[in-house]
Amino acid sequence: MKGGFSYGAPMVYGGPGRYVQGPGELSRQGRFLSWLGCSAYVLFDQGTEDRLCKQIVDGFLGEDLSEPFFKIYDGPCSEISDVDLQGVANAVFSNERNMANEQAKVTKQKLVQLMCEA
Amino acid sequence: MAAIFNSPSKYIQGPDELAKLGSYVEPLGAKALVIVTPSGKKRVGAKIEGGFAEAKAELLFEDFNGECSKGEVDRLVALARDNGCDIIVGVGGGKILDTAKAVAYYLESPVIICPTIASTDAPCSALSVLYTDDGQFDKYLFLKANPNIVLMDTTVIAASPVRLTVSGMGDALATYFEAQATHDADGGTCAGGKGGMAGLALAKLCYETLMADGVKAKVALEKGALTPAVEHIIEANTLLSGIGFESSGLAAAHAIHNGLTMLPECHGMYHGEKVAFGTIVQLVLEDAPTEKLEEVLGFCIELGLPVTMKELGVAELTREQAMIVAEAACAPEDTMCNMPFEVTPEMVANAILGADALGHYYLMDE
Repeated sequence: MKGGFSYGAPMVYGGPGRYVQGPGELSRQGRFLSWLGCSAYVLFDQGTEDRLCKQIVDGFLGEDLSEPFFKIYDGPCSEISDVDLQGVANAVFSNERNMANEQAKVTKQKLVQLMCEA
Repeated sequence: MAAIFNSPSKYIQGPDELAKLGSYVEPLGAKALVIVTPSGKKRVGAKIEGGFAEAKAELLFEDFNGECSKGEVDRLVALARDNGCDIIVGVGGGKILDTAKAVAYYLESPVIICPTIASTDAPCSALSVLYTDDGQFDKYLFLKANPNIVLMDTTVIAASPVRLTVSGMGDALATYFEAQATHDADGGTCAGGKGGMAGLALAKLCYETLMADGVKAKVALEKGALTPAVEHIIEANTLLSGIGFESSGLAAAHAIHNGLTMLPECHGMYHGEKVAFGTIVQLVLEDAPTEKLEEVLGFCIELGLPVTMKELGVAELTREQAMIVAEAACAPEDTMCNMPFEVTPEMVANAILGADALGHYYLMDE
């Protein structure tokens, strides 16, 4: 039956809360993140870093955010595949923010340096 | 400017879904503040409590004071804090739902929206409309995010007064025309960007669903029957129109609705009833083809949506009254700027007079 329904099985629509598309949007992602939280954990792979390091770092400048933590990760998508990754995420999310932020500063400096060299 | 598509994370629709509210709260919070009217609690309170009995979450019911105003929002924020509530649930009509969203915004907590009627397209949006304490439009409050869940219990909605669902069809009637106007004007949307293809497609589907199932649904609802047409109309009024308006733009119809709130005579009318008339005014303003006008007017007349100012409560429409509405509709902060041509208050006043005359003509009133 077209548009049929049965008890116990509701119609469910799932969607992203927000889908944003446009030229240069990666450099402006901070304006959305600043609505959702104050301390971002940014995960990307080596290839993405090579191509988009500057845009990703730029995306966090000039926004009301504390230092984001950048992490380059090339491992598999599994629950606990990378002990280090898990540890850092825990540091960020269990309010041990200072530690994470120190790491973030170092990582950011390194990224900016890489960016300048590129 | 980016194309932005906003949507609730999850939209759930089906018979007796309110009985499962507890299980939907569980992953999001430990204690829910459930905002509801006393009469709403009488109708669905036991159903909700029954579901919470099996869930690992608590609930606290609180009566809504009647107006979605800054004062009421502040009161509920304080109440949630004092009672350790970490998730907000709104159960009821448009004003309760807007209030719940605004409370969650200030608390930075998740929110579940449970409409008990399908009378507007507000539930899915990241938007609350605030009113002054005496019922006049105050401002749009843009929220950080859309609701985590919009939960539609169609058994409850199908048992609500038919006029409310019909009014929801009036609100949904405007969506496609405003989306198309905004698209043509390359205007901005309530989602904070340009409209994309998805929002416009849902707006179009919304209009097509109204034309296909609107009359069928109204007739079924008058006999208390929850048919597929009723399910389709509930989805069109809420999800399709909700995403459609937010992600593809508002234009003249809603600006005129906001203008109509300036006339005390119209205060007894529902939001969607005023929007339906606003839609006809927009079609007159943009000089829509006769066939389109007849399709929309025929739909409104069939459903009992107002097509004249007399039906909206204004006994004898004067040019002065039309001008009051028009001036307000053309306020710079309103959405008239999404029309794809320059619009002046004089043009809008004339379109109101013209739409009113057309309504009388097709009603064969005089």
